[in-house]
Amino acid sequence: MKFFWFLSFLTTSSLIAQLGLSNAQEVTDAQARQIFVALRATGTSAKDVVYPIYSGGKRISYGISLGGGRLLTKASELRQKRGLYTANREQVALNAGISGVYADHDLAVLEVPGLEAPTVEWADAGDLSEGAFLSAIRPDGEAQAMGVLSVRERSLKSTDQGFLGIEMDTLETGKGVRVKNVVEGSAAAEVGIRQSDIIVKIAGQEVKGFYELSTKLRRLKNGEQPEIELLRNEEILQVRPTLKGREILQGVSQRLEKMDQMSGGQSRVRSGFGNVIQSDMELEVEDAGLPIVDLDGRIIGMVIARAGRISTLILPGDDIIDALKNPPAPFAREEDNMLLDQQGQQGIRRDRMRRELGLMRRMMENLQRELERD
Amino acid sequence: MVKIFVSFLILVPAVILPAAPIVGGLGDLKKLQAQVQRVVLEKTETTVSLVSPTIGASGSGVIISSDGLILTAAHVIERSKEMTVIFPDGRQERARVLGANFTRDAAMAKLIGPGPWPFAEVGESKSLEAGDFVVAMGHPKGYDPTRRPPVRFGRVMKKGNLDFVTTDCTLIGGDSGGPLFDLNGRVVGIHSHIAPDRRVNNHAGLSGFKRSWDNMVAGKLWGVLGGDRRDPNRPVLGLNLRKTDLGLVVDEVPRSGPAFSAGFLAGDLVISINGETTSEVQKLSEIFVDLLPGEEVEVNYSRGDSKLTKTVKLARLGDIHLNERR
Repeated sequence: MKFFWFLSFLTTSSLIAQLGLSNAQEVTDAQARQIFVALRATGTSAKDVVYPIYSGGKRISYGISLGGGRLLTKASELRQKRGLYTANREQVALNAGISGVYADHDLAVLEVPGLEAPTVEWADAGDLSEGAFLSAIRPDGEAQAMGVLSVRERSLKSTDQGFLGIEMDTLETGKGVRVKNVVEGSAAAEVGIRQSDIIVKIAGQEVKGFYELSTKLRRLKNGEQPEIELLRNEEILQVRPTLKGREILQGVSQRLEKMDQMSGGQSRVRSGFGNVIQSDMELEVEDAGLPIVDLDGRIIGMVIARAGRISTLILPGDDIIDALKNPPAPFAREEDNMLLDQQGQQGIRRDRMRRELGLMRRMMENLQRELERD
Repeated sequence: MVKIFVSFLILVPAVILPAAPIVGGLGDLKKLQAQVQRVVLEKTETTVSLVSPTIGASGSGVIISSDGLILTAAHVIERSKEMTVIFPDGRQERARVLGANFTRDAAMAKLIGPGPWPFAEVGESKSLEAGDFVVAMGHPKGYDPTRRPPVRFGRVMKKGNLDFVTTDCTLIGGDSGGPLFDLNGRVVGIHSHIAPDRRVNNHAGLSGFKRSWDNMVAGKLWGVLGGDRRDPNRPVLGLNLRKTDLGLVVDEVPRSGPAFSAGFLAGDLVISINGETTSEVQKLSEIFVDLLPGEEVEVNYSRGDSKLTKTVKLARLGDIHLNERR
């Protein structure tokens, strides 16, 4: 009898539980809470070194303590912003001044007199593999977001990639790639590669088509000298060009740009970094500067950009340590010398144009109103 | 007493195991992480980029057999006959496009060449539930030689019509056709479409793929993206049905349709089609999504007290004049 009672109790309670959680959203919400509670154990060291950065009563980013009253944050988010301040753990506002920038990394160092905070200890991110769990830790110790390591460390700087300087025929012939055009002054032109040559081998390996050749070239670095085997009038030739940096910007289609835009804000400077980790964690533009921890609670880097629907970019701790070995450059609020790449520059120019257009529109509206009043 | 004990043992697991996997602490997260990393390690090389050399359409795909069968999205292949297949290491091969069911956004291609190719096994999407952990891979924004397919981790958020599955694994253009894996590394979905909400990423479920399998292998192309009830090429029985308390009752039998020739009459009660019980009109139309005009279906129905079975050859919607009484 005891068993019966116990059984009926269990089945009813499970029925109640199932009715209560019948909605898929409730199930996934409850599960998300469990995950974020579990993640608290990973944020214990990161929460002590992260501080919010405000301007005009609004949080614009976070900063990570370098000790001695200094915070490290994303530089380009500070542009156009006046009156920067942070808040210490007693919720006292402390003014922050920009002491310098590291343009290549889009980093800025803030001086915060009176801030007493421990110094961040960066861990090596090099041993993390794809799929590793990462989270961005807030000052209250909670994870702002959780994601995985989507893409390991790599350079997003196109000039780091080798550039041969040929336009390739995408037509598949099964053997080699036909040269459609040679860029003047390029590595290819220097060694006499000509239009209609067929590239059959690079660095000792045969290439079947456009994708194989362009993959091999773009995985080579600026300055490398791969051996290239050509077929010209049924004659085999060997050349050894010295690759230059890739100057051509990859175009992004409007359809893709739209998909990124509809999915939330993106940092103005979100490309051109020399070495970053890509994660799928969902953050906002003003979450830049948050420390990133792995499941062992090690601080492996800092959020440097929100770069579209599927991508948050993280600057690895090692690269930050290397950058900070040199003194920072002075901060130039109105100049573009701190910008990383043309994409960022265009973005800022576009933003500025949009702002100016907005101002002009308002001026026009005012004029219109005044005219109507007369 | 023995009986009670047995039923107790059976009931308890059913009671204490909830629908969504529980994350009890950091230990559970570490176990989960290890599972995700294993899927990535073992399945990355099965995630290929597909580019049409002629019409320039592009997307992703996944190899699911050692002889090179590729699953992808119908809108990735469009009307291509052949696709260039780019592996994560940059190697390029060619694949012949087989068939596609556009209504399910499901398509198949086959690598040209003897193989053996790296592949992932296929699973089922039917058994997925909200909260189940999944891993998405693909080639977002097209093939990029500077990286391997980016890993996205997430959960099933909900299940939709026609075996579509919604997850919070964020996707973008170029991912279409790429694989959604369960934690055992089995393909359970193929990336299809997204909404502005980052938590709405839709995948064609593998259980739906399986229902269209033979027709796709046979090279058939059919259906309409997003589904169109007015598609003139849609297969139909030629029965106008009405939902009643008893079930689906035949309202009208157009003379030009195959059901008329098979002898169906207004008032017949349709019980099942191809063994699938039909109580909802929606459920009924899902049966036809995987079929083409010319295929035969077995219809169980009742007329008065007698239960009857007829085999009916499906016709094109466009060949039937539904409003002939007017």
